[in-house]
Amino acid sequence: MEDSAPPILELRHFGYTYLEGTPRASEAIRDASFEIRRGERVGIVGATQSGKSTIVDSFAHLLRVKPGQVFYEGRDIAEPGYDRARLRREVGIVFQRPDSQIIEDVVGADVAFGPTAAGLSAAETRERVEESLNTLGLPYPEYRLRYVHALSGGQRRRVAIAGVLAMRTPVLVLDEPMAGLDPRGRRELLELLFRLQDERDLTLIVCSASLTDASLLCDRFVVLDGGTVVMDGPVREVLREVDRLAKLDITLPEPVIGARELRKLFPDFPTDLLTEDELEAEIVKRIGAA
Amino acid sequence: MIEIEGVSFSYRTGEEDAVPALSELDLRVEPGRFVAIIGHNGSGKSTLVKLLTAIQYPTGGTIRIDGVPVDEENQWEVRRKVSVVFQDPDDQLVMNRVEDDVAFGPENLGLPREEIAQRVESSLGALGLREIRGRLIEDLSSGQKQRVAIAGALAMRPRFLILDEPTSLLPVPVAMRLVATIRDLNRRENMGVLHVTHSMHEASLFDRVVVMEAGRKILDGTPAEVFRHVERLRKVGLDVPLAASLAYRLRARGIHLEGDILDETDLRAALSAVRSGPQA
Amino acid sequence: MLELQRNVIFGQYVDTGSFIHRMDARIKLVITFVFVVASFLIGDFIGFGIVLLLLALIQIVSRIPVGFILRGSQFFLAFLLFILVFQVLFYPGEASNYLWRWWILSVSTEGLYTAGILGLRVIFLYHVTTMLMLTTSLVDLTNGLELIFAPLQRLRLPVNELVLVFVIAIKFVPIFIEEIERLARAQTARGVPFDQGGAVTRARRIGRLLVPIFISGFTRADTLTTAMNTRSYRGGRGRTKFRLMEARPSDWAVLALVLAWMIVAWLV
Repeated sequence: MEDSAPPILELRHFGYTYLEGTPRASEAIRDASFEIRRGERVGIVGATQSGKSTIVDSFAHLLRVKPGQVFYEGRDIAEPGYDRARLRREVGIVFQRPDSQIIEDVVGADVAFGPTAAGLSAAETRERVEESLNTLGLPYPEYRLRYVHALSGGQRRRVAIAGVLAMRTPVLVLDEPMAGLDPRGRRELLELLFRLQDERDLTLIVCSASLTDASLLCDRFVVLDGGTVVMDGPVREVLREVDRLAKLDITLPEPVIGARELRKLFPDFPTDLLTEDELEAEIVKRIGAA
Repeated sequence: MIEIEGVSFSYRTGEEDAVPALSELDLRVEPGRFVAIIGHNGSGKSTLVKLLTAIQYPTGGTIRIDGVPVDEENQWEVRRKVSVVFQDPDDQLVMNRVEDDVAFGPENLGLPREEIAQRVESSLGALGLREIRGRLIEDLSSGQKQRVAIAGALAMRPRFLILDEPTSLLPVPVAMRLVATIRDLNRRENMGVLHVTHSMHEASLFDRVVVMEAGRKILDGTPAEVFRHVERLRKVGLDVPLAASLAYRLRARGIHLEGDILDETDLRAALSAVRSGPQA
Repeated sequence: MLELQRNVIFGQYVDTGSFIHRMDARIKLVITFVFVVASFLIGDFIGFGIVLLLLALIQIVSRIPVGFILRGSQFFLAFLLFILVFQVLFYPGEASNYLWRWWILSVSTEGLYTAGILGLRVIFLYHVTTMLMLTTSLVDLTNGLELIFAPLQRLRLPVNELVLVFVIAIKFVPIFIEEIERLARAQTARGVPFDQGGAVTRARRIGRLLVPIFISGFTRADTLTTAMNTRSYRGGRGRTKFRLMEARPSDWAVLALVLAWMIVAWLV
């Protein structure tokens, strides 16, 4: 039975207080529990400061979990003696600001950092670097020796992603992957992520204050508000609750906003629409019937 | 009045074939107008902001603001006429408490204390910040910080307010509220606004939309006029508001939609007319 | 994991709205100065004991939790301890009472005494300046410093600029600390084990982050300067003040109290 396998990641009554014990302490997340199964594509969504980034940090044990527990493949990652180096080789995180995770000055060396640290041979490392850079549209021969600081913001984000891809982690976590990109940069990154999903057997976690891209990349949403999980379910099911979502200061997908407005005209108009095509089809159905 | 005539600008890269960030741009903005400037990264819109605020000076052509040429000699006069808000409020907030930061600009102008106090008061009120006036900036959310930055700019009582992508890091509802507040200020204070953005959603709220590409102005008009060029905008990598794009597609199917369609409300109104049409 | 912001409080401002927070910044600066002078004049444990009582009083009135200060000072205290151990072991003078001797190292009563006094002196200076920053907002600090040093302007010293540079440097400390924390987290996630290894290894890893931090610091400083210029900042020339500085009688009373207290501590 497949269901008997433990979830790849699980939070159990997870809580975290930022700057605990100082006058500036603030509770980032409270009593969050959910599991993520292998191969799932989950969007963790909520307004800014709703606790998303804290959850991202918890996946790789980057903060003291207190209270609650975080499990990876059924094992508590805070246990003494737990192999966290291995955990971090399996859970790849692309942070909101790509600059923070770039370690080396030169593109090729930075992407090679993870594989080298994991003890891969030089030949294998090279192969992975080449493959990752090519996948991200940064051709290896051209970009290998470029200085990271001389690249544009969008390119640096790609280098950061390449560095994580080169680890071939079974879990890929993206924190606000589209923040600050212009429409063209967004579309390119989106296409790239679609391609990755097809080619690799990934468990994908996308954290964002915008459902626009997350709704295309994910099958399931975990919605956060003020540090607690307020909704959890398949993407379309969550989108049907549009009036609740609208109260959360998050970016709704444009088709959903459109559908919500058109519901004033057609009370049965569905709001679980992901694309312009779907919205168009629903309109045509109704106008044709009129 | 902002008058930009034949303005070019190249970043000195030391190479002969330096790519011009702006080439021979002409643009006039009357006082009190609400203008959006749209383009993807590298289209020259950020360079335009730097030239209008005397951070950089044109390598060709002239810019005048209320008749004052923007050059090194007049930089301080220019900065009294033009205030700017940048993308990341952390880069522009100087003091660590809300009201102290709002006061920073007026203090630099050497205004009497009562005048500063009055400007701080009205700016805080306009941005809805009165309740958090004593708070530390570091404890605020990104949307609140952006409001503080705008309050600081507003306290300068500028003729023009320039906004350099202040909403790009904010979720849409927060960004829309901010733009609505700015629109309100624009009307009440008759203060011209140039808002640089790549959010098409916001752009439809403006009097006028200027689209930039490769250092040139490629489209300029009311939002309705500009968003009619769906194909053209897509080709330069920009989005069109969904409602405008849908209207374009529905019309292509032969469905007749009345009027300009810029947002969801327009679309609903037009569709409502279509539905009741046959019975009428 | 790394939580530097909890462990380094230097440069932070915590508003508890206490009496000390509301005091005139100039008076607070003068009081700090009195403490600095006193800590050099006082040379025995009884004197320092008396000062300690006053510091405790200030701490209580400020309503800033002691635990917060202690946790926020652990790096500093560890460093101080390290220095003091050296101070004891390498006590240079001829001592009368050796407790332990080996090669050029020794532990003597004199050595312990000197190190003890030095330690107290440094801790007092640290505590007083930290309290000043924790209870004084950036504007008050700027305005206070400017007013106190205003006479130096006659010597053509650019007081306003210097003060502002100083204040911005202080403002950047917490930002840097936050940035180091962010970098350390992101790099840990990529396999640099910041949360493993001994103190020295950890310190070395953090040291490696300083280069990118400095680069980003320069960029930030540059951007901030531009932003200040666009907000009509011209080096303090012709600047007026929004915030009124007003020394209340109670502020003067506090100053008198501190002065008297220090004189007593010095003379006993």
